[in-house]
Amino acid sequence: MKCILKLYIANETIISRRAIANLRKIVEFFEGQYGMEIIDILEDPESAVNDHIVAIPAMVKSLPPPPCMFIGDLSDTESLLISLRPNSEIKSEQQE
Amino acid sequence: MSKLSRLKAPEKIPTGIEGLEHLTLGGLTENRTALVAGSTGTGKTILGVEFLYRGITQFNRPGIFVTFEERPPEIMRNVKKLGWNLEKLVRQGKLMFIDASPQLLPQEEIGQYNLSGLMVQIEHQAKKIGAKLLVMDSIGSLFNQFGDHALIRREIFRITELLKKRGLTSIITTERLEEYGPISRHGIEEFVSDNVVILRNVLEEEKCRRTIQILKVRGETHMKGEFPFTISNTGINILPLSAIELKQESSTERVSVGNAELDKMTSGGIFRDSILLISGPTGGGKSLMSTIFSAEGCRNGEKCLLLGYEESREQLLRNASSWGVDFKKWEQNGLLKIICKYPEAMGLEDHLLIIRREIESFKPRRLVMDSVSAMERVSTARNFREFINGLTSYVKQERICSLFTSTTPQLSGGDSITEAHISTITDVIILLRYVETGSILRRGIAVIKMRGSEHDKQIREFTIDSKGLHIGRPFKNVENILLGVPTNSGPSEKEHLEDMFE
Repeated sequence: MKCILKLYIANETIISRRAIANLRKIVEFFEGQYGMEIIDILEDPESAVNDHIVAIPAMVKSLPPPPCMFIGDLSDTESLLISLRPNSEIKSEQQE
Repeated sequence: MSKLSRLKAPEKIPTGIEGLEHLTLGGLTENRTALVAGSTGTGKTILGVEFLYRGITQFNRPGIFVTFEERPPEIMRNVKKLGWNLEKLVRQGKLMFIDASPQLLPQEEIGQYNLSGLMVQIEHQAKKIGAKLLVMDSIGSLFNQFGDHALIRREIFRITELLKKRGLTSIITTERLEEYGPISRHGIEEFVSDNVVILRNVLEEEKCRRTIQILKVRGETHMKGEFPFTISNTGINILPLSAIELKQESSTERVSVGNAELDKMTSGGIFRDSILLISGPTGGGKSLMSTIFSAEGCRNGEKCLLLGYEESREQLLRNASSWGVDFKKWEQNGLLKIICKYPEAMGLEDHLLIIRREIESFKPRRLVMDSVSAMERVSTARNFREFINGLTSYVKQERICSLFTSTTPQLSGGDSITEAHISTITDVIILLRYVETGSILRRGIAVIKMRGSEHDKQIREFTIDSKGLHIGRPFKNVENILLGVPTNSGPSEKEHLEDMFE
C-alpha cells in the first residue's frame, strides 16, 4: 500500500515549485512506496484551516509512523531521504 | 494629488472595555493594528477576548481570534466564569477561532518557507463571517515555533499589511520580559506601531498592582501615564482616576449633618455635593459623626451607603444603638446599606471597583467611609492617592453627599498622610481633638474649612452621651488645639476663682 505525502502550497510561487520538484524526486527515489498529493490552499482554504497550516510549503507524512510535518521547500533532500525511509528498510539493514 | 486629498483621518471605534475609551479618547483606530505588550499574567489574553466579545455583542462586529498558544476550547472555558459564552458566538457565525498553536505533529524545517498558510486562513475565515475585528494572541510564540526569526519578522509585517487591506481592526499581543524594559521581547513594535498599549502587573508593597498604559495612538491624543485596572467578574475594568472633569454644577442646597448645633457651626449645613472630612484621634467621635450623618439621611428618606473598614457590621450596629440610632430598622426599609470589609482583603483598585458597583446598584444620596486612613495602611502613597482621586471624582459626579473619616496617628492629633492627600479634595473639614485643661480631658470640635460658605471659627467643646453628640461653648484660653498639643494658657484669675467655688 502506498503512503501518501501531502504537500500544501499556496499558489504557484518559486518556493512551491521547488518544493514540488523536490518531493517528486523523493517519491521517485522510494519507487512506489510513496504517493504524493498537492493541495493548493488558495483553491481549498478549508484544508488549511482543518490541518492547521500556518507555514507554507508544508509536507505532511501520516504513514508510516511516526507522523511528521516538514516545513519549507524540501531543498535538503539528503536529510529528507533519511527521515522518510520506511521502517522495513531500516530493520532489514539492522539485521544484515 | 486628487488621490491624496480624498484621504480621510482615521476613525476610532469603541471597544466596550470599561474605561478604555476614556484612556484612548474614543477607542482603537479603525483598520489599524494595536500592539498589546505585557509580561506573563498581565491579562493580555483576557483583553483580546474581551475586545472581540464586546465588539461582537455590543457593536455587532464579527471577529476572529488567532491563537498561537492556548487551544480554542481552553480559551472558551477560561472566560466562561466571566459569563462570556463564546461557543454561542461561534455557533452564530460571529466569532471564529484560528488555531495556530503548536500542533502535536513533530515539525522539521527543511528549506525556505513563509507564513502564507496563516494568511490564507485569515483571509478565508474573515470573508466567511464578514469579520471586522481580529486578535492574535500571542505573536511571540511564532518565534518559538519557527527558527528563522528574520523571516518571521518580515511575515508579521506582511500579516499586518493584510489586516489593514482587509479592513480589520486588530489587536496583536506580545510578551515582555521586564516591566520597565524594552516594549516587546522581539521588537515587534517596529512593525505594529499604530497603537501601542502596555499592561503591567507589578508587585508593590506585597500587593499586585495592575496598570495599563497607552504608549501611542497614531495621529491622535490619548491619556498619558499608567492607569490601574482590575480583572473582575465583568472582565477588565480600567479605573479612570482623573476621568471626570470638574464641570458639574455646584449645589447651593444645604443638608444637615445630623446635629443642629453642628449645622449652626457650618452656617446651616453642608452643601448637597460636598465631601466632608472628619479628622480625629481614635475614640475621638468619628464613628459617632458617621452614625448621625447617615441617620440624618435615612430620617429624610435618603439612601445611605456606609462603608466600614475598621469595625464589623455588628460593632457598627451596636455603636449606633448606644447613641440611640436604630440602623437595623433602616436596613430593613432599604434606606441603609452597610458594607464592612477588611482593607487588607484586596487591592485598592478592587475596593474602588466594589464601591463603584455598590453606588451604581444602590444609588445612595449619602456615603460614609469609615475610615479612609485604614486604606492608607494597606497601600503605597501613590496607590492611595489614585484611590482617593478616583473615589472623590466619582462621588462628585454622582452628587453624593459624602463623609470620610480619617484617624490621626497620635492621640493628640497632628498631621496624617491621609489628610495631606485628601484635604484639598474635600470641601469641608471638621477636626475632633482631645483637649486637656486643668487636668481634665475634654473634647474639642472645629470647622477648619468650608468651601463657598461662612463657618464658625471657634473651637467648641462637645460631649457624647446616649443621645449622641452635644456641642457646647467655645474653649477659652486654650492654644495649639489644631497643631496637636493643646496647652492651657491659664484661665483668668476671676474664672479660676469662680470655678473653685462651683
